[in-house]
Amino acid sequence: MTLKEELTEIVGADNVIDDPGTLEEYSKDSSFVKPLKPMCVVKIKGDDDPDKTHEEIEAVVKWANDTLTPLIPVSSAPPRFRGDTIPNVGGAVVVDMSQMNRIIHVDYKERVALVEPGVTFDQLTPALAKEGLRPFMPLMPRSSKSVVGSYMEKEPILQPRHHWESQDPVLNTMQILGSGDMIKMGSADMYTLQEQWAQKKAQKWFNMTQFNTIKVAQGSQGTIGITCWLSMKCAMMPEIHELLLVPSEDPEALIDLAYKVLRYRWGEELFILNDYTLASIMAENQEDINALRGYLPPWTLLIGVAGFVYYPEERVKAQQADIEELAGNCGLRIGEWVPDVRGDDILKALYEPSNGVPYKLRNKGGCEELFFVSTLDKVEGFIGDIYSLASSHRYPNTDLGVYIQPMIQGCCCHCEFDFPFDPEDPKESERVRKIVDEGSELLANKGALFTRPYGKWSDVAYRHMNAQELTALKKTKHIFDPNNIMNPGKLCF
Amino acid sequence: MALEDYKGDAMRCEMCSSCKFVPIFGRWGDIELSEVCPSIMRYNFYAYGLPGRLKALAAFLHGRIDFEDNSDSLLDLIYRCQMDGACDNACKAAGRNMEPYEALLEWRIRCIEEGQVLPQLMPVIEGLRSDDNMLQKPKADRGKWAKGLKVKDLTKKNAEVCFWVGCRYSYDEELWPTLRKSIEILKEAEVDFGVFGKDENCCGGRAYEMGFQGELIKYMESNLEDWKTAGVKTVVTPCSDCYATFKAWYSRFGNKVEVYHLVEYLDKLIDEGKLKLKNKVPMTVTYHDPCHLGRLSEPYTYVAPGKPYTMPEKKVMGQLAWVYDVPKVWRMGARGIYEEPRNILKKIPGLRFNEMQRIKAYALCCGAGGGVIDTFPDYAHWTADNRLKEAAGTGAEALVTACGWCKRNFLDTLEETGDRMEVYDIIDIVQEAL
Amino acid sequence: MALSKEQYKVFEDIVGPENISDDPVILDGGHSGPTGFSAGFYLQRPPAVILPGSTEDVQAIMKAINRYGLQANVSSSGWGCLSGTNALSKDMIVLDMRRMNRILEIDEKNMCAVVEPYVSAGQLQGVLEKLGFSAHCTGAGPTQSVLASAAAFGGMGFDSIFMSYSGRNVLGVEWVTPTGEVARIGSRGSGQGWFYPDSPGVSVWGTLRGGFGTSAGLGVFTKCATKIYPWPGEGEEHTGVSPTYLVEKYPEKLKAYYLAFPSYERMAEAVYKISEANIGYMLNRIWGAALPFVVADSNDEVWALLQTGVFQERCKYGFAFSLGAFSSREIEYQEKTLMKILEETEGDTIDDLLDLTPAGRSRLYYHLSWNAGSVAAVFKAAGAFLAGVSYIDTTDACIDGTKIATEVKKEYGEKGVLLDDGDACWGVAYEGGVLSGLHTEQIWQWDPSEAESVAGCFDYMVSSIKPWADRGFTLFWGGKMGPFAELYGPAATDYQMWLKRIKREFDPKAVANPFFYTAIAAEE
Repeated sequence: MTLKEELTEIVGADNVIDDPGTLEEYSKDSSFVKPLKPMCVVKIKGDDDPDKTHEEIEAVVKWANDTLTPLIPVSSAPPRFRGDTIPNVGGAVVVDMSQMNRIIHVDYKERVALVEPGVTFDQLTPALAKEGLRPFMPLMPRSSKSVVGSYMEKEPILQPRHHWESQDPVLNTMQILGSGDMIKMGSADMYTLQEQWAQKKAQKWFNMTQFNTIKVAQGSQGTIGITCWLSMKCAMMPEIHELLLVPSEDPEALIDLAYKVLRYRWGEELFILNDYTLASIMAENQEDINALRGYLPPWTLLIGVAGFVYYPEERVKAQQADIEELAGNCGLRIGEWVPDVRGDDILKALYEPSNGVPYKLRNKGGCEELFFVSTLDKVEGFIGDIYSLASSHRYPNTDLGVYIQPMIQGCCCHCEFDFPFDPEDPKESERVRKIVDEGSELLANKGALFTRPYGKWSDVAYRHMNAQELTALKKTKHIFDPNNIMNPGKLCF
Repeated sequence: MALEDYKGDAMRCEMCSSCKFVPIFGRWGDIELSEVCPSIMRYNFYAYGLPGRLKALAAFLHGRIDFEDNSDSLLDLIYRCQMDGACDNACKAAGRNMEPYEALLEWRIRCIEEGQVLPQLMPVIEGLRSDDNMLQKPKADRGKWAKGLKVKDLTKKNAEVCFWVGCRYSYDEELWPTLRKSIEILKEAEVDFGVFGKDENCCGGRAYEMGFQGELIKYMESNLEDWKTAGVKTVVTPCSDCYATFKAWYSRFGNKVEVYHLVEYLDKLIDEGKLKLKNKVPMTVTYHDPCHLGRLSEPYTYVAPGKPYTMPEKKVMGQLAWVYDVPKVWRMGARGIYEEPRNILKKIPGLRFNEMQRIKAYALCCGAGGGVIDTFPDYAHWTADNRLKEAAGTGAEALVTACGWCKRNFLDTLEETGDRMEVYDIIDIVQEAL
Repeated sequence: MALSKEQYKVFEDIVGPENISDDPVILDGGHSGPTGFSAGFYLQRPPAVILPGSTEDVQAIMKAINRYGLQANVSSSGWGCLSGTNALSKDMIVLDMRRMNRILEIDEKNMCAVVEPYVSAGQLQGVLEKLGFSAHCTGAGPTQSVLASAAAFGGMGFDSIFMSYSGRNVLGVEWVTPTGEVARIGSRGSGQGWFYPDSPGVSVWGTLRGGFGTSAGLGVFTKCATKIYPWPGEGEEHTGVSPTYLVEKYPEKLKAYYLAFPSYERMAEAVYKISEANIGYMLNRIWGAALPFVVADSNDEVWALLQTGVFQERCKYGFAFSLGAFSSREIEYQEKTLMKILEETEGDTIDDLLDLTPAGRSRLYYHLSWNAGSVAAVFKAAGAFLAGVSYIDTTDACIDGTKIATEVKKEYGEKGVLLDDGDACWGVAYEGGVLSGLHTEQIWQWDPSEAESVAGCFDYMVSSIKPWADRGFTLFWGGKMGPFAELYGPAATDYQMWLKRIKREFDPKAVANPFFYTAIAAEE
């Protein structure tokens, strides 16, 4: 039997695709990662019985171990970015779970939802809303973005106070590890899901053993295993929700205020945007972005305040007054709008499904990102460095997007620079690529940690890592994927 | 009680380690000052903390270790401890109903009963037996400090108040000025008092804490008799060790002594207006609580007069242990003399008083207790140095205490380290302010 | 096995003669039992105990242990024998980390403290209080090692409703591997600050810690960065001398309560509502008959209170709870909300019962601010306690577990072999505001010095396994660690197999203590 025939036996002929068009589609994305076609694409549909939904994946991974075939897991439909789903080696099989998209369970009382990997935010948000919940959102994911993909890629969420550690908001998972073994992490580990629900359990306690394959796999770009389902904690739908906007000429005072608010765990959403990024998320196209950003303050700190079941108005009022006081101490003033943008409109953009163009592509059609994790007190320095670097490459700083997202309750932050470019303009593409390459190296030396080392960041990250940790990291990979079949070559193995 | 009676406590210590630290209500503040047990602080091995000692005691009582094979190590473990009671206080403050201090004391008594005596203790105890003092000095020299002072001799005349000097003050010439000042103060307050001079005995307390129970009983009986003969109703002493002995150890054997530490007496006289603190003493001081004036001075409370403190424990509700037919009043270390010296210092004009972190019931020992000043002087000085550094950290120029043993150990340590810190007996400060 | 002279000399050269001992007196002083955890029995006396003073010492020790085919156990603060003060095989040297006792860094802005192994929760809290911060403390109380519970073991605490459990607070570790390599894991490993525990791409930390740490089963953690949290307790004033303190002035923004409800169901409802309301700084499910151990001084006083029956009757379904806020507006909102929840759930603040003892209110306050009384609550009654079957997930499931354990316990209480206190499960809430989950832990008090009580203790534990297992609850915090991994692993996607694979990769000579991790044969 050929490899294709063997795969066909597992998932059915309709789900093994190797036509040139499809292979071409999976060979590249919007990043600068070098295109390479996979051998074929396997579409996973899963099973209506959540306790069996992993079986096809398990069989495919076991097969891959037997045949030493590289596997590339994919959860989101295109457009894809960052190069993590482009094979690094020939003969790979893409395991596409974008059609495995059941919302298995939603439980308001326990604030938990359990979903398959193909479920998108656009699909999940209304389903949760019916139950009085909402997902913890990253900043305006594209409509085709898989929730599991986002969370397993450790995309930061907007609410740092509910972000206890990098795993959040993931609670439990069922994974097929690179070895072909199925593992359930968390309180879902024993019994079937149906049995657990009958036992009044909700797959919400993180871990019942002495290792954590969720953490191991998160951010690994599919090099450890494949997530078959995932339970997540969900936010309560507020009765009242307001977004306070704090404008500033420079980020320093906003960072100061952010630290103060984070310390007391006040507010819900809390992040900083520059004028370009705020304009990009609020405007639909290049013209509108350019028009809007001229009116916006250079920097805005956005703080959501919400009231829930008990005395919602009083909660919002008290928090607003407290935050106002803190802002005053920092020489800042807050409002519900900055010129031409209202907090309510922003909240709508953040939480309501949008089928439009991803905000990063709205200006020029392409966007290269430079993001990493560090601490808030270093951010101002990073901004200065990147602005200087961009200027030295004659890239207009006015087009540069900045998004600062405090994480882990304020212990660190996601720091992101976005460089929009016209993909049809090779000179601009090359310029942006150079800025990002040089910028990553520059900032890695100044405190940037590439926790999600896409593309060339992998080289940067592992060069800066101490040799013993790197050895331990390779051992970790070997434990869970001994034959190195999961997305080989993507990281340092 | 017999040592075996503490097997239960040794087994039931769950090694929570609360005994090593300032009780949590006291806050732990500076991490370097959060510990209260000099023994574990100095020697670090787990065995040197109370849980370790209790587990070693359990092993001893189970015959896993014994004097035949492990004599030196056992004596080393048992005696590298100031018996300062800090662990006992902290254990109870954490909520345990155990008697760890009693267990450690009984273990020392067992050592002596079995003839296991640290060689360093031999000259001390021989000196006590021959000359009735803990400093290996001639009995005849005991009253020298009072030469030239006109003080009533209690061997000849009766008085209601006995000014009890104690071995340390009697023989340590550097402390004599304090005694003389004490006499002046008592006279100024018109107290009718007398002294036993060269006929004063040891109180027996330090020997007891070394395990020599027979010596305590001997001196207790003799002293009680002497006081009775001299018509003494009240004992006043500048020595914290003697104070704790009379108040606590004598009470353990059913004797209630009306005893005041001089600092209590002074506080009372100041309160009553019999002494007036009028002179300025312009310095910044801190106060070191002597263990024997503080937590160790808490008397045993009796079920009935003349009955020993011990009662059989019973269990209720299945396994609710440490319950007694007559509710037991535990010696918690909270009822020592803590406020009086502070009251006095705060009343002295011009004097600035800064507290250390480890105070009152969780004060760090000066290092001299439990015979350590005799047996392991380097360890005694190490402990004092730790305490002096804490004192210096408060910004104080002087450390004030209320115990001759503490003062001696601090002075010797300062001489050894070359550090600068004035050390005063509180009596000296009061006298300066009068 | 005794160390040869040559071996002893090697270790002695690393740490100095004053920091190693093979003296039976020193070794029996806490390294061989007996304690409640060892059922009052003696365990193996270790060949030696060593006190490393630095990471370099630990590294050299681990290399020598590999060379000589010995094993290592690690004790941080030495809280109970479970913490590793004991040797568990004849070749197992105990590394007592007492000399590594520094708080290395406190980063107020980024809310992080970096500590060495011996630093205890109370020590850290004492230092942090002055800066307006606090840190997570497990139910074991203030003397437990911050590093041990965060990096190497586990731990829920009263504060878990606000600070989660120890594993969620780690921001990085320094790790001496079983083979003696020093690895810094997370952001620190890449030369940055201590702000992120996971390595870029693949989290090494994920192999080293799950719900529990490796419990000395995979080397030695020598530094750990942990999150710190805001402290609402400013402004307290008290009088008295330890331990008989009375609070004279309570902090404005930290309010302590005991909340009692008419049934388990109402109590559970309140836990859910508290989470829905986003309030709570500490929550400790301590039941009626256990509460007197916290508020009273002696067992005589406890007994007097319990004889009245009033605590058992009115507080059977209750928990200690505190509000913590950081502004006057916030505390006002929280108090109003709490009162509304109590109204909805028929809750009672039992003010009259707290006044039955002179220090009742003060004790409750200290319990809920400084974790005081943790030791009293579990050790005071009989000497020892054990944690048996436990669960962490939903409040409803945990309440069901509590009922099962209480039912099984009845027989043992009536027989008099355990403390007969009418309930069976301690509990704390975790991550209020969203998760509203509960951790419940079957605990019981018993006397390790009494044979009948020892036997009863273990009978009860075994009797509890089946009825709980039917509901998916497992022994020992629900964790599948050490021997429990072998017991439950096969029914839980073979966790035990993964532990062995990890162990083999990182500890080929099987030198790290396998007892609370997993045992493998050493490679030649």
